[in-house]
Amino acid sequence: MNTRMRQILESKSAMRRRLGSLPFSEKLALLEKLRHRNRVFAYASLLKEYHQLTSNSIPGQEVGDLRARMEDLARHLTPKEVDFLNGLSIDLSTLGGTEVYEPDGKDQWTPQRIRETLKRAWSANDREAILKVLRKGPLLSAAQTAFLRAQSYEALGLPDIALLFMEYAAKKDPETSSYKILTMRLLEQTGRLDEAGRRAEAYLSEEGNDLNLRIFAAHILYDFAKTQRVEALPIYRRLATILEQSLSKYSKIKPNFQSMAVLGYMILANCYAALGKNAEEVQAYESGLEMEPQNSLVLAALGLTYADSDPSRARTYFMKAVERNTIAVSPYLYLAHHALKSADYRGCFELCEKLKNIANQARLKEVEATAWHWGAIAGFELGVNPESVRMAFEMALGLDPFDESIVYNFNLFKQLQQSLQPAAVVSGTRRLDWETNRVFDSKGARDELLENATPNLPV
Amino acid sequence: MQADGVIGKYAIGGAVGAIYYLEPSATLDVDIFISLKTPSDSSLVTLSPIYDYLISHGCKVEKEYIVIEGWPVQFLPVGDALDEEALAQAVETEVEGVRTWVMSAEHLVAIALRTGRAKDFTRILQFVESGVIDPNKLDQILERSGLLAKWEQFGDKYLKETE
Repeated sequence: MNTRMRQILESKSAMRRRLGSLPFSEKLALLEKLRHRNRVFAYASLLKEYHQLTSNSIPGQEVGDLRARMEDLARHLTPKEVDFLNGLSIDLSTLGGTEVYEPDGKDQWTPQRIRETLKRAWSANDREAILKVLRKGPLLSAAQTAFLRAQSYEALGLPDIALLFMEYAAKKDPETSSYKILTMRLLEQTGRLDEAGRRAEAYLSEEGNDLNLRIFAAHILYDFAKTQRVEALPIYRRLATILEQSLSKYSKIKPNFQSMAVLGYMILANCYAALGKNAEEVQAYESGLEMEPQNSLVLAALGLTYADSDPSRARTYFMKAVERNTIAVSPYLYLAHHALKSADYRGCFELCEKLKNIANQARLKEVEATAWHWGAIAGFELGVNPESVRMAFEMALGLDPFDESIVYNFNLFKQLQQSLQPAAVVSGTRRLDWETNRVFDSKGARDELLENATPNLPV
Repeated sequence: MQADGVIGKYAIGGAVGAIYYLEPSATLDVDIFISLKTPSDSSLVTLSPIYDYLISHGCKVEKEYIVIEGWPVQFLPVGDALDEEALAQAVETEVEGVRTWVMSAEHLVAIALRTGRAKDFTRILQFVESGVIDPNKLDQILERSGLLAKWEQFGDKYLKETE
């Protein structure tokens, strides 16, 4: 399972627990919202099906049945929802090749006014307003309009609909690689990794494609390879060859978009890691670092490559990554664990404080639990208020109730609070036998780095 | 409605009842279990007084539901001893300052098991996973309702891997 999928599952499970603990009336209010949302999504899906059937001129019973289902559902929609879905219906009809614009009515929609309104909606990130203004009159090319629609529908939680518009943008403007890249990403996002992988294969087999497209295609194919049990190694081999060639060509020209090449080196390194070629893996990371010496994700990745074989070197790379405020969790985890084991409680506490925020934002529940857990131990050893320590343990346990080491250490702490002599106290030194062994998941950490290294696309 | 004497004690069941204990999940309707007295001149229970009351207060009837403030509500007269017990032992709570009752988690599981549709089984699994069920209480309810054999079958089919 890839990191993103694991994160999704973990965040969903955390969300379920959080929602489960809300008061009944709040749950009912949420349910009300959910019912509206589901109706809109269900209707949008029927609308998509309807447009596909009618554009393929499939008449008769099937369309009739679909219309009946839509009419049934429409009775439960609010006027605002009907307005939104009518707009979607207009937008879907443009996929047939002709833009459809709403009649002007009393207001005159001059190109100037459309441009200004669109600009304002874009700045305010108001997706529904963007969609509305695009229906007022011609302003952008068909591809750009479809792209904006795709981005807006994706942001509104309709990636299936977004995919239709992004594919249309790619069809209308085959020269812009970002449309192809975003189509692959939407295919992956909507669970069609096979199709995304097939397209990635095709782009990689064409010589002329630009580096952005090749690297994103490699990324998609790498994700696809991870899901394959038997055929993964030949894919990694082929990807490594393609990336070596593409990146060496790229380095001969003046780089104008380094992060993309760095991502390429990171995928290359991961392919080598999967093939067991560690020297080549390190070389790939070092090439990436040469390109961007301050890139904290590459520094973290290099730390990971030495985590088992050369801990001191690993720490050096991890420390550099932390100094650059990396958003990867692995350096913080590794260093905080080392600090805890070395009784550097101040260092551990500070690292855990940073780690809590990063893990929380990335919705990495177990990592956040670890940060609270080790922070509680370090805090206790530093003489922090016992109530704060207790709260930190409770937070850790709430986030990861199945971690036995948290349970063990929380009990140890409670024994101390009750003035019982814990068995683990070594007389005289007051050093406690905290359970802090943790298996460092370097593979999971590498996947996380790759996800974080994906830059935003220049469109 | 209760204050106006149209209904006596009631309890929320079904998916909406379940979200008292679990996270909210998609559902179309609200199931409200009520106890109705059979009129002396008839052997049939009737929901007419409830419908008349709600229609007079602006609610609309749609198929088997009556729509109250946008929510399709189905009133279900208690049908057997399990329903009656679920109603009697419902948990009291408050929604926006109004006192209301929700069936106990164990009764919701037992009724879902009796109903036995795929979505009922999914809900039972959610209850099992959430850990809110008191196994002893559930055992007693299932035994009294003659649902132990069905529970065994359910366990064989769905719970073996989680044990």
